[in-house]
Amino acid sequence: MNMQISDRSLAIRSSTLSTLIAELGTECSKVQALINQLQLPSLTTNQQAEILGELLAATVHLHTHCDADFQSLIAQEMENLPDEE
Amino acid sequence: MGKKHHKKAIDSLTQRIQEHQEKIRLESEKDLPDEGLIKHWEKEIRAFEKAIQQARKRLE
Repeated sequence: MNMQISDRSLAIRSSTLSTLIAELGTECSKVQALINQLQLPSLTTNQQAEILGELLAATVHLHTHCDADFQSLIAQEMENLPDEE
Repeated sequence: MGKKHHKKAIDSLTQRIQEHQEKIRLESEKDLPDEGLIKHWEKEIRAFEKAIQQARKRLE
């Protein structure tokens, strides 16, 4: 299972940040899909372990992905926005 | 009991490392690689490795 977000471009000037935000969207979609799977009735123990293993990897990714560097990139992007009249 | 399930997490984390290594490889092959992205992905790989170590400890 590999969910992708839309290919439409983001209103972001920094190409680095744009890629990272696209990755964030993909990971969030994965997490939502995993949560949906956990709601399925009659999951076997093996299936539960599989889903939880994926969820653990997703949370490790999100934790690092959204760290101070990522937050700074977003703040920088905001500062680079032109002032509106 | 149940400890062997940590193997599933290790498998998922290992797969994430491979995906990120591939991202770095593809980016590095570009004429002007985005060093910021590569550093970010390297940091994520280190986080996955740390999580694998923790999962291995739980397996013991």
